[in-house]
Amino acid sequence: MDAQLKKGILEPLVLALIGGGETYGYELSERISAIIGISETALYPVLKRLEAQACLETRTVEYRGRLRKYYALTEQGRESLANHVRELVELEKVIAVVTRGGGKNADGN
Amino acid sequence: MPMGINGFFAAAREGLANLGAEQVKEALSYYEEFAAEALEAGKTEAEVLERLGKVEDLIANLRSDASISRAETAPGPGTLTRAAHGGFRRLAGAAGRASIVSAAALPYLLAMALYVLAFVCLLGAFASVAAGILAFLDVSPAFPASKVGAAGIGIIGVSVFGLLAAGLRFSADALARLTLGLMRKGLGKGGPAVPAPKSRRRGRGKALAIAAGGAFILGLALVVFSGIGTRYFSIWDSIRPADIATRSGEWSLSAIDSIELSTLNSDIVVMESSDHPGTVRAIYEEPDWMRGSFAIGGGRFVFREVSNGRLPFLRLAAAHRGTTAIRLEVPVGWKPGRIEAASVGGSVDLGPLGGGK
Repeated sequence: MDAQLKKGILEPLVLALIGGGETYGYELSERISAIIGISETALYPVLKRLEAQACLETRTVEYRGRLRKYYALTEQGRESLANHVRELVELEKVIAVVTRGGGKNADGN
Repeated sequence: MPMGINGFFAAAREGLANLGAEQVKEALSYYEEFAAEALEAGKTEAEVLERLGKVEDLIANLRSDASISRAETAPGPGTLTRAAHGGFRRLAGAAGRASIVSAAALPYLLAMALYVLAFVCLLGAFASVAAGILAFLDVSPAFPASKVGAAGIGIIGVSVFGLLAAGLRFSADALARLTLGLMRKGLGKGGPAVPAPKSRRRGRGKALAIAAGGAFILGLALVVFSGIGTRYFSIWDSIRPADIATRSGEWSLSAIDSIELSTLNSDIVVMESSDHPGTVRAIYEEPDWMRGSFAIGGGRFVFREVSNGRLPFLRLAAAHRGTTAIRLEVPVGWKPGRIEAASVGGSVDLGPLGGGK
């Protein structure tokens, strides 16, 4: 996938996955890389930005002798996710046309 | 064999050694947590390293982030340059970000230009201090009021240049923040731009503006009430001074072989007259900031107009034409052996004694 497109899609993806329930860095990373291939250096800045925007709240828990940071969605994060969803629904229409090939008679694959 | 995970973090730590500790710690602890979890979940070192990416990229990005944050908290030409160095390189590397590069380049260049101008104005403020001191020294002790006025010149200069420097710096800082904000947007980096420590800075800026305004008014008052302001204005606007002392004299032709006339900005006029055969007559209008003196000896008739020490930098101001004159009346047909006449700002008309200058 194009790097720019990936960047744009990463934020709603992170919000949605965390919105599904509190999670921690590695788990989140695994779930994302199952969907799109990204490196850790791309994910960390997104988490940091969302945290700075107060979309995420974090708590650090000791786990097997080291620290594990959990991320959860805030009210603001939920709002942001809702905005992303609206945008993506619009995008869906575009995708539908593009994948059908754009022709009037194209009925999809 | 490429470096292991421990080597990766050792290299990262080394590369980031001189950065802000908190930011580095936070970022590295995230990556370390990730690596530990991944290994625990059964991934191989190679797999983990692949996910971590190149350590050079990690270092470069964190460094650049840190320099952007630093420039945001303490904007200035140095921090902005460092932030821009890494920031623009990363933006240029990111495909499709050309528009952001060009959008950020304009405020960046403007900010740097304003920083330079602010620096020039700061130099101007220092130069004004020097000018004030020189002006003070240039005034004769016989005119204490003018000494005060000379100090006023320095104060005006300092306040004007100081305020300009502060205003330009303030604008440059605002542009720097704009640049950094655009850069962050382009890089998709964390959060809102760090809000400037407004309350203190603004308070300081306001206090500075009030102080500079006050100093300007004080300086202006000193210049005006000491009288040097109006005198300068007379010279500049070619207004005939109110206080003119007329000096005149008559000298026998037999004692005069050569004539030397020099003025600051009084006009030099030589004319023929049949009223007083056998003598040269001179009439000089002397403003109260100059002194004109006649001297005769050894066949030389000499007139010199110099500053009497009331106006600082009179030689500079004198380049502007004045409204007073030294007039020399000579008998019809008479010529001295030699005549020399020069004025800094006034006109020279030698009439019958030469073609003028």
